[in-house]
Amino acid sequence: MPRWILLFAVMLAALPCQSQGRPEYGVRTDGQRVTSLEGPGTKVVALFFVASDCPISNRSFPEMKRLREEFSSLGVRFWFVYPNEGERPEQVRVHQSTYDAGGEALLDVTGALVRIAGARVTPEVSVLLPDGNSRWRPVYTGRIDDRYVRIGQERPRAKAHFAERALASVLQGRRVEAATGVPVGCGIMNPGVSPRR
Amino acid sequence: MRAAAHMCVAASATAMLAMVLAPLRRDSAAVVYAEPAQVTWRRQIAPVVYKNCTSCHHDGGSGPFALMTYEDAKRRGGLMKAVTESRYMPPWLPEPGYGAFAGDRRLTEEEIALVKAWVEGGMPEGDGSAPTAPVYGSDWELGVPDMVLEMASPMQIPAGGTDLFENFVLPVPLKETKWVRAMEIKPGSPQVVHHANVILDRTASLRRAHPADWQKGVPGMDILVDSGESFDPDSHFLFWKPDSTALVEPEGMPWRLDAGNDLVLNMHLKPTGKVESVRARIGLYFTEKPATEHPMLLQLEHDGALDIPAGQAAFVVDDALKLPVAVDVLGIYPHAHYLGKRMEAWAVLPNGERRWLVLIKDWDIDRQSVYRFAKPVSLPSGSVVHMRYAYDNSARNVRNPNSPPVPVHAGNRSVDEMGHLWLQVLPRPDKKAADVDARMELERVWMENRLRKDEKDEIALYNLASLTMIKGDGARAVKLYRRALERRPDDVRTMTSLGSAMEASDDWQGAQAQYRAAMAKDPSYADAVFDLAAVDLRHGALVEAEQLFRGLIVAHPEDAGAWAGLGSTLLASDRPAEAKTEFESALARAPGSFEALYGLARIAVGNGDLPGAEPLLLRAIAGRNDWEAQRLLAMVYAGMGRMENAVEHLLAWQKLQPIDAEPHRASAGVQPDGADARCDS
Repeated sequence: MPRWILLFAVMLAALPCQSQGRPEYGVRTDGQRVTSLEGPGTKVVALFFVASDCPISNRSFPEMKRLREEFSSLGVRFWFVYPNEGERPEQVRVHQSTYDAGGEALLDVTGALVRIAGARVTPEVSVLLPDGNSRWRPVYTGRIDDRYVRIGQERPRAKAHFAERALASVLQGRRVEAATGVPVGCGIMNPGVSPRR
Repeated sequence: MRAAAHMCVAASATAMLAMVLAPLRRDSAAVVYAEPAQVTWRRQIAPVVYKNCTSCHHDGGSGPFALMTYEDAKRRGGLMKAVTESRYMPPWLPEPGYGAFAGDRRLTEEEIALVKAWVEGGMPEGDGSAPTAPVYGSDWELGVPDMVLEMASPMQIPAGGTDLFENFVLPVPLKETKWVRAMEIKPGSPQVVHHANVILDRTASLRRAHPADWQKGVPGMDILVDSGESFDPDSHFLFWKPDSTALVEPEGMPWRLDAGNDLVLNMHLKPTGKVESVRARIGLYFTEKPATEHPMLLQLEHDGALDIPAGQAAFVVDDALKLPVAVDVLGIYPHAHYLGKRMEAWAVLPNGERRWLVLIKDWDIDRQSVYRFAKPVSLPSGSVVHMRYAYDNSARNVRNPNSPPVPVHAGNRSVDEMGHLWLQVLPRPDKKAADVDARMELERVWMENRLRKDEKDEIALYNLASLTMIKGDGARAVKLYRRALERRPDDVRTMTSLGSAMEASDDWQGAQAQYRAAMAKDPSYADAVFDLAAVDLRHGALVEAEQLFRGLIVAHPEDAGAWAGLGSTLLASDRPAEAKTEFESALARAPGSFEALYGLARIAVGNGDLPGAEPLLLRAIAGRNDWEAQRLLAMVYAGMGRMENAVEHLLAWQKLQPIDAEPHRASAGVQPDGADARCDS
């Protein structure tokens, strides 16, 4: 019986990718499906998992925006991924333009990107590299920085910038340090994602 | 299972989580356990949430999301469980058992267990009727305020960065004194404003200190304002935090707001991730009934000892203050910045009993508050109030604003520290010391306590000097003011006050020199100019007095005292017609101006217009029971042949100058209708 459950879970995870032969990562706020995360010259993909109603996610936008502005020209494609059930496209469009109008928003309705990245909360970052099969694999998923220690306890400013360090490492071809600590924020709520998170 | 749950509810609504032991006969050997009752939103969780959470967590409230409905709460269930278990929410720092406070927001263990069980049980909505959700309006809680003050312009809060601490001056457009029975702060953007304090600036001192930027905000975590020359201690905590509603003062304890006062809104602002605009409003509700009870704010601190080495994880400062009178402690406001950790305050009574006031084990500036005692804490005269604060300046303190840690001292910036314990106390009536002003005694021991910690504390020296002046000891006040000037030799206010003390100790030439020295430092300092003009007037230097008063009028055309002073100077210069014009100008600005009314009465008497002088003098005396006015009114009545009235005011004059022979002589010569006008009554 445990094997059947495992197999079913694997099949479920693969469903969105196999439905039309091309992976589907989510939809833009105008309803357009996103089947490719990269653009011309993309070397690295960075996903910021965010939510329109999560205060820690909102307060992390200035740092996410800074990273987007700093690394976009270096071949990093950034996506602001809204994974939560109940996020509406219009609401996400307004939210994204309020917090970082230059960022690209994507609604991860099926949880495909959450599963690929292994994200648990908003805000969280995942840095992806090509896996050689036209897919992307995460090399870092975890905290953006160490500003938040736990809910209700934060540093006046971050001391360690994990997302920045991971991006710099992949661009320089260096090994990416493994994520440490527990991401602090609001749990991702998506019917396509196991409630273990 | 459902039947078991219902039985459980019937037995005890508070025992939902407990395993229910079925009633057994004593001789029964079988023990039967019922299934634990299912915790549902409708039955148990909604009442907890509505009681403890939704005052902030409603649409438009200060909480970042609403918790008004089942769907809202289910969406946040995991978070609710985490933050209630850690006691991060609801925000409440004092430990139970170390002071009983009104509005205690600490959840019970049972409530926390209910939330945990509900979340772990799948967050069922349950059946039955749902409790009615509270209603939160966006209007003023007490209806339309009598006066609304608003920040001059919105402040733009950047999207990110560290917290901001700003002070906004809100001038009060009052023409007369009002008593404030309630106040409500509308922060404008409740999710940005973490807490706010309103400080009453009697002398517009912050506005004067920051003429260019008082409207857009003056940075600083803590501010000092100048409370003016008269003894008028701060009396009320005017504090706002995200769950605050209208702040209604107890019966008999409204606070006074005078024409010319400013309210300073001291705000802690937290960036939210997007650019925000904050424009706070303050609604004031007045009462016709003046205060009958006069509380006072007392402070314990030892900022001078705050010299916290980098890396020191348990640096302690303490302070103690012996109360010279019996008081009821109404409220308490502990305050530190980001390094503060453990805060303790207690009182030791004369009988040795120790009475806790507050204990906070993990201070968090983000969740600071004023705490009002559920019942006043009575402390007899001779009790000693203690504070003991511990600070963590190590790298392990995640709130440490300095990375790596650096030595930290007392200061106004967020990277500096403070250690203050404010108490709101109400002196208890003492029949044995009815002639003692209890608040002055409290102020005296407070300032003497400050001097014990720092013998050159210029604020303590200044305030002690002022108290000494009030008690009529000009010579001692001169010494204290001189000591205050040692640290701040250029402070024009202290220089001017020293002049007043010298005048009070019969050294008017020395006073003149002091006023001139103060004017030389700051020609715009009106008090020095006025006091010099006044001493000139009293001692016959009329040319300089006239020139000074005219200059004051140009600089401060609404200063009724300057107009009246000019009138008095002109009258002393035998120019009554010109004086009359100036007195009338003073009355147009301040209808109760004693100097103007008295001066006009003198002119009327000089013109033989005794009936014209009478109402002026009656108005003057109604504002200030002055012996010269009483004397002149007695003369006016005597001149009008109204001897009974004349005697009445002679007696009033005599009462004001009991050891002066003149009123006794005068009254002896007046016999209304043959009656004996005894003056020794």
